[in-house]
Amino acid sequence: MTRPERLLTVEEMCLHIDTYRGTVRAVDGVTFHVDQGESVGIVGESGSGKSMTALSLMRFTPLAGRFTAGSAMFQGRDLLKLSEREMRKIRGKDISMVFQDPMTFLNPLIRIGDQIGEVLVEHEGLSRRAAFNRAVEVLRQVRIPSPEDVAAQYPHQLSGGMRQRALIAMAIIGAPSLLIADEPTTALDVTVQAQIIELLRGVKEKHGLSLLMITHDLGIVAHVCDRVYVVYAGRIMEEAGVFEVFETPRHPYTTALLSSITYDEESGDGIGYIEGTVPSLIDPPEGCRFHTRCPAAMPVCRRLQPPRTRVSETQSVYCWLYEEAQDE
Amino acid sequence: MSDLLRLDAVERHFDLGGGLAELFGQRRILHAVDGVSLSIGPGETFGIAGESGCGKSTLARLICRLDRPTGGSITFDGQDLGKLNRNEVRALYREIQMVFQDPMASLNPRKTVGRIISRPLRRQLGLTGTPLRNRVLAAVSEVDLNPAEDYIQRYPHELSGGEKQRVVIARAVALRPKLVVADEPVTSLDMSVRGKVLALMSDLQARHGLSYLFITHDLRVLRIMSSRAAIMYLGQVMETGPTAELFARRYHPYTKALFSAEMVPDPRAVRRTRGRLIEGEVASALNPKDACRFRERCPWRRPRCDAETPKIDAAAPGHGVACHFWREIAAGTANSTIKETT
Amino acid sequence: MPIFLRAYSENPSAVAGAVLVFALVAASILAPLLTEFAPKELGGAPLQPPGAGHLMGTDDLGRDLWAQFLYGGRASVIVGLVAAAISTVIGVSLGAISGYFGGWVDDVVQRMTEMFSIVPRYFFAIVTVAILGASLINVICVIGLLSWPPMTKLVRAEFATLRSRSFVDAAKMGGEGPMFIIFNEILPNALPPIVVQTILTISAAVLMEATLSFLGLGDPNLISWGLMLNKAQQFLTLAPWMAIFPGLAISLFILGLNLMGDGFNQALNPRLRLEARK
Repeated sequence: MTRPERLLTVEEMCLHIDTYRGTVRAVDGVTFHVDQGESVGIVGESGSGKSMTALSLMRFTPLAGRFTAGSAMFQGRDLLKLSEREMRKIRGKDISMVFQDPMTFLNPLIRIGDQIGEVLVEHEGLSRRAAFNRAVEVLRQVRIPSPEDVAAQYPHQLSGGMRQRALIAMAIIGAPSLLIADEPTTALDVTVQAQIIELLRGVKEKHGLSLLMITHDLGIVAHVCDRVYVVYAGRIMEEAGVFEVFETPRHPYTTALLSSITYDEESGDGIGYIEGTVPSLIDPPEGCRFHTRCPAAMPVCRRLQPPRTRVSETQSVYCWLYEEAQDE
Repeated sequence: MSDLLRLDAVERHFDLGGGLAELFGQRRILHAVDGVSLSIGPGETFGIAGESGCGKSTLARLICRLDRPTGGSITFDGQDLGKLNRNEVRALYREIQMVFQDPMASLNPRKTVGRIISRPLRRQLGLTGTPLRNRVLAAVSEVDLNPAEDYIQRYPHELSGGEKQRVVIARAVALRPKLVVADEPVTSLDMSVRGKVLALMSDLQARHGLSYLFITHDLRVLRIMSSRAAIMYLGQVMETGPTAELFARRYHPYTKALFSAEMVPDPRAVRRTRGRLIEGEVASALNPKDACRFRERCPWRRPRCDAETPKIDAAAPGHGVACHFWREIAAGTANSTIKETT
Repeated sequence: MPIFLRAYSENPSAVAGAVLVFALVAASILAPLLTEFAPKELGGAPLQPPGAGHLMGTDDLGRDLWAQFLYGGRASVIVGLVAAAISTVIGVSLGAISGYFGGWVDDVVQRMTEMFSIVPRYFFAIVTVAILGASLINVICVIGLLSWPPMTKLVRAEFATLRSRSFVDAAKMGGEGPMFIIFNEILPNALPPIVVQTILTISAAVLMEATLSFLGLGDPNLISWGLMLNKAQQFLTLAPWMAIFPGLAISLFILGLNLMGDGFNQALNPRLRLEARK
């Protein structure tokens, strides 16, 4: 079996943001990678730093954000160190992004077709006319009915699901190798969410691009991802293949998260939950970030940050419970 | 068993004016809730599920008398909500309380938890001094915010999302109402704390004999919380029945579609059942014609669906389906444009 | 230190504005300590240029301009504060009622507001003062009654958004009446923009008072910066310092108030809690 090519390698990335309340350690030493053609999920709750991780890769970080450590190698270049001008060449062309709320990203005063074609005008020097025609093509690919009409419309004339499709069209028109989707369906209705998730999966397969899915919903992970990183309070807790994460979760946080979305039909018991609250990223707990809520916390968890422990070919866990396994 | 709450053909139409079309004598009427009948017994949890625009939040506001129906009647504990005067409405709010979707918006950011919970107790029950303080502390610790003395001094922004929602619940339950209307109470919360809030609500129900009207779009939550439920679409009830029954057998095409669109957190099951989704998005409830509301997205659509609004038909005792052709669909003799959904 | 103060103190122009305003206010309050002259005291040689004896020189009657400058600030400050208070009370009440109730109440209040906003303010003020007499009270009342429309529009907009927040529904279901909801639930949440608008109203009131006095419609018995300017007109070429110093005072006071308003606006922005500091 040939190993797929590495597309993105993020090592120990730290994004710290200075605010009036103190320094927020939004992303604090995160290591992950995305292979060519792979669909990777970053799953976590609010305050886990998952969105900031995605925004970091696009360098859409707040003005007061600083990368205090780490690297994000993409096609031989470190995204964290590129200038804004170099970054602009990458955005939309090599890496593109789909957001939770399309309206914040779509310009209300520009026709859909022109907005989508803009990438080609900028990066490939196409004429507006040609770019518009290509935009119609891509709108058809994202299964928008009568794409010619939609391309000539303005964002407010579209429904929520259609806007999200238009945003996906805008993201793929430059034929990027990496598509980042940040909670792309959270604002949508259930039946539309299913359509968009299915569309993203189809687009990824058809164009052979890599998908980095940022979500809080393990259901979406189950639907589209090949591998998953579970994040909590700015750090990765566990990485695993999609089947492993659901069938043999190792980290207590992963286990708890899974129990919070499943219930036993027979017993009639409610769904599980984790006591306590997500810690502040300004003053995060020492040691393992999860120890304040962890049912299996040991003294060492309070003092030292757990190292990465491999438990299988594709599964690793950052937890002291599995430390012995590595010693042998 | 006498019903605690009874809705008879409740309608709420919003007149949006006509814009240009008004010149031609046509007004735009939004049928937010359109002929909904249901009943809730004492101590029962009735669930309402549906997507945006299905009228579930409007329905909640009507029941809480924050809005008035344009047709039909709502009866609570034997009294017609449409006929209450101002004092009677105030008295009604000792019996009906609400838990809102967004806890951040439903707590006044400028007030401490103590003031938020004590004010209704003082105003509605006339409590003051030590009895008031004790009642507030009890309400706070009842929702597991301990130590209560500490929590009553905090401001909403000093609480996590789950804690805020527990304060909202404490405020609602502190008055010992008979009915609590919960409008998507866990939707804005993190996954890992939803279970806690739900368990708490079940607990309070058992302890105080509350009835819940539980609105949600999450089928898992519907299953856990409610004993009976209604599935709504564009202002109308599509299917209603005991929750367990709805989960075992569902007849309405929309119910089927809604259930199959759920993001089941099971990667193997997902890979087996991919690609069976209904098309389209929720349509608009502006000036609907006399026809099935779901017809445009329905894979089993026939001419009759365009000509006549289906009435609720009893599929089993207590299980109603608003579809002309549910029997044929269930028997597999109806032609559909997509494969059978599960 | 509260976040508001920290954010404010890190904004140099906001701090400069506050320093200007407080320096001028303090100078006018502490006037007797800063000069041995009384503002109307005759005695010096007329039209002396600024110098050792008279810091800002003297006017045509030989009165000390430094003393007038200090005492004149009192009129400006009093008129500014009281007129702004009047217009804030009117503006907030009308805006709150209009925004909260909506419907015909809103229509009536809005028409009223529009009527007051289209009245040419200076013209109306001049005519009123001319008819009723130029006393301090009249000037204050006229300015106060003419300055509320912007506040009403602002408060109405705030209320229209805030009333749809569910804590208002929660208050209704707690059995509260509309007055409690308006003043106890909603108003505290609308305060930040009201504070900013009030500061800007003060600045507008100060400017209007100066204008009226300059035109000779202020209280003639009360020394104010505007009145000083009025007197200075005839001697512009002969004794420019008579105009320069009160003119500077008015400009700096207005500038300071506007900088403060801007600083408050930025520092009270709720997004700051999350927003990064640059």
